[in-house]
Amino acid sequence: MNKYKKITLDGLIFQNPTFMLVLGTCPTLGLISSAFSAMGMGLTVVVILTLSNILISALRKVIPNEVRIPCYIVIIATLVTFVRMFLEKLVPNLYDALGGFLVLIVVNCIILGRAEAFANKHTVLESALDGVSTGLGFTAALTFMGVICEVLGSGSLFGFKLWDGFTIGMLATPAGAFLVYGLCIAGFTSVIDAFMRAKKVKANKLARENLLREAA
Amino acid sequence: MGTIIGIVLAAVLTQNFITAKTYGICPFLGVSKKTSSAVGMGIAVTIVMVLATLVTYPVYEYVMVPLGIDFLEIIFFIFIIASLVQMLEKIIQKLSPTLYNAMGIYLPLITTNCAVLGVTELVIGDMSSIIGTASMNIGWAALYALFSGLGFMFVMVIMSGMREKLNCYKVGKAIAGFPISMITACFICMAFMVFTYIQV
Amino acid sequence: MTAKQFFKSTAFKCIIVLLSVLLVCGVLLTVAYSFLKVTEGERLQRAISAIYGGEEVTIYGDDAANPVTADIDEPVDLTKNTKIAMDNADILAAYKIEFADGGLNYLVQSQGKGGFSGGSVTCWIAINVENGKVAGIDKVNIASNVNQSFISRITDAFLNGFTEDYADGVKFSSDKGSPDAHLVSGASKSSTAINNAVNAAVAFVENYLGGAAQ
Repeated sequence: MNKYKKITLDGLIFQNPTFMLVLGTCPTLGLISSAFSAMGMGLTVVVILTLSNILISALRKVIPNEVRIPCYIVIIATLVTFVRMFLEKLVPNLYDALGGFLVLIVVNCIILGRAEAFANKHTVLESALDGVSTGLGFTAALTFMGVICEVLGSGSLFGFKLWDGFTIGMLATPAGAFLVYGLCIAGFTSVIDAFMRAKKVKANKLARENLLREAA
Repeated sequence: MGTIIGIVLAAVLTQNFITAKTYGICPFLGVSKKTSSAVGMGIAVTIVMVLATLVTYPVYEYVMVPLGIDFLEIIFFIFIIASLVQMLEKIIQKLSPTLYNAMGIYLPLITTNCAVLGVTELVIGDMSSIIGTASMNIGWAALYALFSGLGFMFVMVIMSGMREKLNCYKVGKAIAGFPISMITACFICMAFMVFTYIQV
Repeated sequence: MTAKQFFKSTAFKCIIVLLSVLLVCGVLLTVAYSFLKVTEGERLQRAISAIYGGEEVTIYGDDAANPVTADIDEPVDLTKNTKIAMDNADILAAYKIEFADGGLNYLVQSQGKGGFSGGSVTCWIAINVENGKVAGIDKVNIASNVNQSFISRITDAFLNGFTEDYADGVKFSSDKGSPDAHLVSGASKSSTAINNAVNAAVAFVENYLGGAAQ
């Protein structure tokens, strides 16, 4: 059970694709000016990443090592094409909000990266869990930044007007996206660092107490 | 002539891939530590973008649309780009080992660069805000790809220069690395926002 | 290498696997496409339901004298599927819409230029026609945009303003000094593009009606 907990925590926090690994930056920067499109992008990636992880993990014994990358790309491209058709038919708002970035999920480093680094070495269940948790980590990060940018940049949240007048126009543009993303990475890594340090200090203290007790 | 100016201004300044569209950020942040590598990456991306557009545009327009399989564009495009990059790598390796040493390491990274897939998708889409009333053809597509690549290189070179300078200073531990690069990029984007007021 | 060796080699296996993955994916997508295809009619239906809500409307063909109800799967586009260039905008499509109570609308899809960063805004504009003349603007909806970072600032109040401020011969402008000034501050470029789209749509319908009357 511990193994699954580790996969989940890694995907969500300790190897968060957006803040810790800084992958999939293009859609992040392009879509965080609106919380709705940021969250939509995140959820789309959750679906595609989970399905691609499951498929690649299931086919890992069939696909020869030499052609694995082309095979992965075809599988991911198929999933993206399918999701694109699905969204265009059934969720046109989201399809419009994502724009060109929907197609670019194919070349999103997170998906190919997880396929290479995780799915082709692990079982289907583990890969699926990894896909969901990494995807949700991505979604949470994007939504967080999307909320910041939209509230401060447009004075609205998920399209609902919060107030008139005070807005920081720059935050609705790519320049603001870069700034918010940079500051969020700095904040997130500092918090994780502090947490790790506290954990280490605690572990050291425990070890010292044990040693003292033994000595006594 | 007006169309050419429109394309050049849009691709390099007003709708620059990095500062306005945020395509191709991975190499922009990853390979911009030194000016020499930024130039190498920029040239490699430009070449692949032009070649990819020259292949994908006719394939889409004259093969996929008449056959009614335009919904498979993503698979076709990514496959064409991947094979092009592989071929280019082999050709450069054979023809000029020096060039391969200078540029070859960037080529495999290009397959998963959004800028290349992005430009092939953009030229088959609605380009009327850039080319005006002229009808789209392969010449405009290639020109747009060429100048988008050059615009990409332009911003990468600016960024690498700033990062080289930045190396001489001590920045706080929390913002060292990616955060300070992003804040630098933010200033470049702000500078480029001035160009959005260009009217052709 | 003999043929037998080739069939047993890794290269052969690689080719087979890659081709079969490609084939399976292609077939699956083709099947999916037949279910999920979005037809032109469906796009139009979406625009119509966004603009008119649940109201019952009939789409007419382009022959004004002898109207034929067009099949919704293949709506008759008054621009005959070609883009018509106007001042600062392109007319992408236009449809004649009749309400159950006999009212008449022209629904025009217009792409206004001059937006932020050289981009454009595409709008659906429902133009009310009475006695062969433009009588007002019923509704303006934004369909899509290119590069408009500040599009989220365009409020419903701004879009409804077109209905309220329409008068014969008005030319909406985002120039503050103009008598027909109509803009959202902080998104003046996007406002310009939308104004251009609406002006062009009205001009198109006027030209079209004028031409049809001759």
